[in-house]
Amino acid sequence: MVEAKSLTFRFPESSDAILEDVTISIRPGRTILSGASGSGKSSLLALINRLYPENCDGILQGRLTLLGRSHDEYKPGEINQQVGTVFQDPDTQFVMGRVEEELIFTLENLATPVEQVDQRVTDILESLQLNDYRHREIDSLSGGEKQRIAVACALVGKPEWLLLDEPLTHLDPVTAYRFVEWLDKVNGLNVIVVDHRPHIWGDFFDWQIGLEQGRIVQNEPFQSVDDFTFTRSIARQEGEERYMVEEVVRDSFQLKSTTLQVRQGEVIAILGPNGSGKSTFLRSLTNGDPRVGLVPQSPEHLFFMDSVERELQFGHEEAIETVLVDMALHEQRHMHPLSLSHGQKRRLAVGIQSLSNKSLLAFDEPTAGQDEPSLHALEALMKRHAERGQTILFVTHDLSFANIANTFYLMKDGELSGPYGDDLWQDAKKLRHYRLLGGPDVTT
Amino acid sequence: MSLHDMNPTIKFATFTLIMFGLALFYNPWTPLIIIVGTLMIQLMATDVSWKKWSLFTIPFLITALGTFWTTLVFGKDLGGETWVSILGQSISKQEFAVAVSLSMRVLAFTVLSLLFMLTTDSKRFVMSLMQQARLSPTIAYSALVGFRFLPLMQQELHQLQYAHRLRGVPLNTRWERIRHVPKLLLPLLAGSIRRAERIAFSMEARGFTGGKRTVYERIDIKPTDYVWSCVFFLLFGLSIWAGI
Amino acid sequence: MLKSWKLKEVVLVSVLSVVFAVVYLLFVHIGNLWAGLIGPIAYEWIFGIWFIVSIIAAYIIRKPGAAFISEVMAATIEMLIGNAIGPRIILVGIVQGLGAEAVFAMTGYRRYELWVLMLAGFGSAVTSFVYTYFMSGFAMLEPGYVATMFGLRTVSGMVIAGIGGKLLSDLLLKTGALRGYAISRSGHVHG
Repeated sequence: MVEAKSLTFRFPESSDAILEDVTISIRPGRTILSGASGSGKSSLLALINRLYPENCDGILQGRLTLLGRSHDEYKPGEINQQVGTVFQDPDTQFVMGRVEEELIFTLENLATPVEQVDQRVTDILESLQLNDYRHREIDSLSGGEKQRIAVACALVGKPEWLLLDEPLTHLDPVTAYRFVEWLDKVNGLNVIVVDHRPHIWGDFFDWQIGLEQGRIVQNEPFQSVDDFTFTRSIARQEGEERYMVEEVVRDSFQLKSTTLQVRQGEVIAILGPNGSGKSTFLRSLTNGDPRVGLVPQSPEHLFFMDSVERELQFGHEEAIETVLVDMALHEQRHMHPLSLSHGQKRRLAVGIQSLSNKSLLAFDEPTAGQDEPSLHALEALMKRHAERGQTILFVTHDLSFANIANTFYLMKDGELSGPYGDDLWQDAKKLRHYRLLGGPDVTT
Repeated sequence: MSLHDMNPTIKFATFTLIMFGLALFYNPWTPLIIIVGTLMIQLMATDVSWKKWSLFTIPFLITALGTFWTTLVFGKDLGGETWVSILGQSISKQEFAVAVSLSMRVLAFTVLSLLFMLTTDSKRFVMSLMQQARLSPTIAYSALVGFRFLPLMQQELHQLQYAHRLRGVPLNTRWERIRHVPKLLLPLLAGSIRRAERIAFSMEARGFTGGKRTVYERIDIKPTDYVWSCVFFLLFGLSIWAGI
Repeated sequence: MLKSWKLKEVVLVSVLSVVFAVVYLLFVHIGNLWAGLIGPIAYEWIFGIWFIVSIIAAYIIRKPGAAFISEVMAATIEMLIGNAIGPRIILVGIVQGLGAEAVFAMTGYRRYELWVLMLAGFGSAVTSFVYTYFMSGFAMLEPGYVATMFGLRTVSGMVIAGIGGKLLSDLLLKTGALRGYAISRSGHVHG
């Protein structure tokens, strides 16, 4: 389907190549494109569905043949009849209000005759077992449901190929597992997936292509892999502190009040699926307690000044030099906080907290969308602060990353249970009960 | 025959023409008749919530009052016998009538506008503009995307306020929150611009080109639309007659 | 007019319009508080606020129609989310947008320095004043009072919309969100 020969691609703003001398051939079947952020995998995908080079005025050299025709022979929108795409962010893929309207919008784009529209909508929903969603408001759906609707929208035009750009990023493990299982049942479809954490896909693929800094480093039959490994923090634990988590009642949801007993240097993981109340728990923990510092899932939510320096200097008179060096942000000191990379933003957020002497650092879902180097940088950052005597607490559904913690709590329906030690990992029944382990025997 | 079902483009054109027409009259009766007539139609042919209506009207009552007394004080000297005297200014009967008329005009505009707003569905309005007024589909669907952003932005605004409060920004009183708005605008805009690009990409990936497309839901012009239009123009005619 | 536009640029304009429609509406209410006391002149010194989206959109996208389309869209959205000036506000948007668009057209859509943006704010002020003069019956007011209003509005257009619009867009450029739009390739903006 895709034939690339000596393909080189770059953005007009910079002379660095995003893709360099790429020669590949992607044949029918299921292929995964993997690599770290910035490896060029998403740009390659955007060249395949023709979002690039037009949209970024990118500069393309070499030959690229899509479905037997040179890429520049396609008129705008033409290839999208044969290639459907699902993106990473469930919240920015829809134009209309209801599921049915969204499907109709897609069929209208493809100039489907009016009299066929209804039948096509019914057919696609039926074949994907999504009948119940036809009249639902898209905004009322969960992330996993939205991704399934996005697949339905991509497939309603009957394309031969489906492209998925990191579609599992915002889903918890069980939801992700079920999504893959569900996609596995869709017959006769050729799939290209971009992902930097292939292990969740099990043995879904039959071919793998690896990219590193714009070059192909792997092009071979797929072999399923284990997830990245993380090791437990060995920071010294001492002292004891108590934190109150007050009750929160909202609509049909209730967060039970608890008292958290922690030690300095302890690393704590709060585990639970999406919607279990983890974020509400964090809010209640941070609310009005000056000892607690929070790094939100989008660290940039904390920023409102116009340079890294001013951001760190806000609200106090202490010197920021040591923190700037400590967080490796001294070269970025004059940059706008919102223009930093995700890793830099997170370090800035931690830097802000260190200047206000927080004894507990809380992270909300810090691993979502992160590649391997970034995850290991996060691991090192957390361990370093634990060694300095701060308590580290993070909420996550990432069971691999949770391995760095000394203590675990589980969360379900607003209720916290724990603390648990290492033996939690042997208790598969408990993990399933808390919707943390996938597998066919999940009950709820 | 509810006003909610009237073709939005025809409704829009009718109301706009009447509003322009109103600007030509300087007597108090013409706007008054329009106000009364519009409210009667609202009462009989719509199920607009009067509570909501009142909330929207209040600010414009204040504007009307402001217009009234500025016209009195700063109005052109039209001569004539002094009728009353305010702040050392002598005001004739004619001058008073102009002031009443201009402030009534503000209210007439308000009443008509609210009737349009409260009886017109945004999505149907955009779709109708696309079908009847030849609005480009690219703009029409981009506008619909914009509407979808409203709740998303509200959500993000709350998250930002929460995070900023954690950093010690005082946001407890209304004044403190208003003063912090400029600092929220930039992160909100930056986030929205990034999201806008993603949504545009996903529209294109689903074959949206702004070119040839099927129209599934037709928003037609029915005979009743013309009847409604006539009703409003008759009302306008009546109001002009009353002013002579 | 839209031939040379990318879809992402149209969506960007729409999103800017939504944000500024909310800002516009906020300022209508702020203006209203004053207007009850000192009459329509209360709006004049903040009038530039209502031109700002066309300056920002044109400055970022740098294509014919950006100033006009953004202002009209913002006005339409403002109407639909609750400005009781109603359908008429779309005409206000058209009139204001044309004023700024005309200035950008005169430079052949090639120049976006501060003085051009200020002139665009001035352009919107002029066209919008002509419109208000007719619709609000300013002919019935003292000429001196009307002249003061006109002066205030043009200064406001140049300062708030022209200078303010540029400052805000340059800040946005620094956040990196505008990578991939014309403004980020314009060289003479310091980031």
